[in-house]
Amino acid sequence: MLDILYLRKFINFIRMLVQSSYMIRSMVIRDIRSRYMGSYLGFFWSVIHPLSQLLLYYFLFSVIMRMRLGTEYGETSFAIWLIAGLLPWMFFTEVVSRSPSAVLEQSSVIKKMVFPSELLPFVHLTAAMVNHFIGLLIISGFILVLGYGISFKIVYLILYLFAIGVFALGISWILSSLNVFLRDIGQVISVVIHICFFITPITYPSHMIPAKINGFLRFNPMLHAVDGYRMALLGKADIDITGLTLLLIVAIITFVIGGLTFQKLKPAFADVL
Amino acid sequence: MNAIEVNNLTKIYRLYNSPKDRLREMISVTGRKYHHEFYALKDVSFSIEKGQTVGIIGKNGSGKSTLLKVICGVLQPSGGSVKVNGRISSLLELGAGFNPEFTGRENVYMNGALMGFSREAMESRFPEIEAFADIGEYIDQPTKSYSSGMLVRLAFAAAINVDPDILIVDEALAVGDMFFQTKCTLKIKKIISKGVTLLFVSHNPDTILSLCKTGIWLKQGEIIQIGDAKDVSSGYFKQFHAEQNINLQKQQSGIEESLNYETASIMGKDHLSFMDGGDVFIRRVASRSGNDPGWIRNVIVIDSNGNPTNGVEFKDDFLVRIYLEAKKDMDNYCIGFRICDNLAIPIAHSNNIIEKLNLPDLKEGDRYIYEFGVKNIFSPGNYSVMVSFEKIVIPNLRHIIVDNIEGGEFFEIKKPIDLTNWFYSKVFASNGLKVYDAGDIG
Repeated sequence: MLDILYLRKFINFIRMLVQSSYMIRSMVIRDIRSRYMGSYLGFFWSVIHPLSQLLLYYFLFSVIMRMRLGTEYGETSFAIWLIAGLLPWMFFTEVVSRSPSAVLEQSSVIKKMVFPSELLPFVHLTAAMVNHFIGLLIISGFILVLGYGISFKIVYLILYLFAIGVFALGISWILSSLNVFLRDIGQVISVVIHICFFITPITYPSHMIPAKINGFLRFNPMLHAVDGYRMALLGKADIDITGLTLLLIVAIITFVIGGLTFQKLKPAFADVL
Repeated sequence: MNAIEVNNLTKIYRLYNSPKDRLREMISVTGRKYHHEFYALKDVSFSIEKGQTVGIIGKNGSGKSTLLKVICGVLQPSGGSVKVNGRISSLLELGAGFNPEFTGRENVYMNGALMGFSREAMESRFPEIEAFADIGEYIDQPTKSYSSGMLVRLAFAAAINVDPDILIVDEALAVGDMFFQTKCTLKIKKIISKGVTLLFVSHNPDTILSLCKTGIWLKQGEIIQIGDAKDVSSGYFKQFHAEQNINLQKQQSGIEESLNYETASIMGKDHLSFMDGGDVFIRRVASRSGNDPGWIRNVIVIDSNGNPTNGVEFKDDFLVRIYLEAKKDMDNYCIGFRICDNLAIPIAHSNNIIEKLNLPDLKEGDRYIYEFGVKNIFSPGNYSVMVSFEKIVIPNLRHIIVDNIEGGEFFEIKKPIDLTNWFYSKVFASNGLKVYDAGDIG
């Protein structure tokens, strides 16, 4: 009975997405444009920014620390391998790190109009996805140019992308609604993201995790997202069904909890803002 | 069918002394409450029929805006219910719901989208909105660069051009200039005539009377009176004046003095005494200066029937009566007054020198009443009286201020009841009038 209730809420949410598609579109365009407006290189910053990060990590982990990628990715360039794992992470953190301010920065509208504030994290998600697709296009180009070839496994990317999106949206709902009441969340989250970046095997292969803590770190859904992306883009490893299932389950549970949290807190937004 | 139905509506704000208290209460295991409750609306019920025009009046903080916000659905009621039939377009506060980073155009489209209009539907409406707002090229600038007047222009244009069933306006129009206000009033009247329900909040009772048939008077979150707009606004004003008097009495209580009134029967006005309204100066005054050797005890306005009043009929002559007491012996003094408009700009003045009136010398403790008859040439509006009591050194050049009170009394010149009987008309044959060319003059 409960699932049916949640399902109805979900259907309502989807219906609202469709109804507000025009508004979401203009907010997304606005969001992307505003980020680069007034800068000379404009949209190129969305490429330059991750590229600089990539070069930094490449220098640190490949040139200085001479990281070995192990049997599966032995032949692959570290840069390509790194960016394949970095892309999903950057997509995820872009949504999550912006989420605490999502509701707050629209307070002028929320206070004065009946505004579907639950769409705000979705706007960030969509904007991040646009960036993400550009990144994917670029890496696909590199993969082809460098002659690694793209296998059928690229299809799995859709599943992983979906899972990360749902997961990020759930977290975003929780953080954006809680931050209205507890402004500390915005500060806490940047610390947490920083920690998570290093406990997720992005700059090092997941098989390097010591066995002692491996069992524990395996519950990190982003580990499976990163590994899954590498698998799908580079086509070397096999799909990890257990990992994908864990990722999907965590994502959907977070999504439901996020949706319920947001819905519970939303009526009080206008009172507190 | 009723357009708006409000039943036992209550809105409680939880006030915390600090944000920490909010957190403490959230995580409190014992269920201890850290907030105190503030009733912004208390058990408010009314219904508005379709096509009704309703004005809400009340002091600041009486819950007017909260009520509108709950009806719009921006705020959730703490108790009771609100039922709304039809599409609401609202103008709550300045530039309601505009995102400051977006351009005017984008904000208009966004508002339209929130109201459920497609891009195509908004495109067909946009020229009308743009023309009505009349803010020129600013339409493509971010709204954060707008002046408050431009914001309200665009917000109003956007709110009114989306075919609302119910229009809700929260005293936003006062920001616009005179021309825009007139334009808005006419536009509102036009859409009212199409059967749109109007809910209007304004500090200006004239605006409410001109637009609304029904009035709701809110005080501290409760409805005091609901009914015909004229009755409600006059009730509101009665209460306003009564409250002012209470304030005055509070101020008076500081001056405990046994007054031995005597009749100041000079210049044949023996029916006057310090008794009739001429107590110690108790009115709240904007500014008072001067001291010894005397003081102004009171100043009042008397209508043509001889009654103290704060509302003078149009064209009805009135008196300014000044009550004076000398603390020391004094001769060669001057009593004057000014009538100032609602911006405190003096527009007429007189004193006994101008009126060529010799005043008797004052002995210590003397009390006199001075009366100036005023020919009522004033247009309807609010005025204040400034009074001064001065010692003359050189007449009309050097006066020492003994007592000077700005805003000593306030009065209103009422609007003429009959607007039509002030004119006469004559007809001339055209050859009977000399027509000048511009070149003929000067």
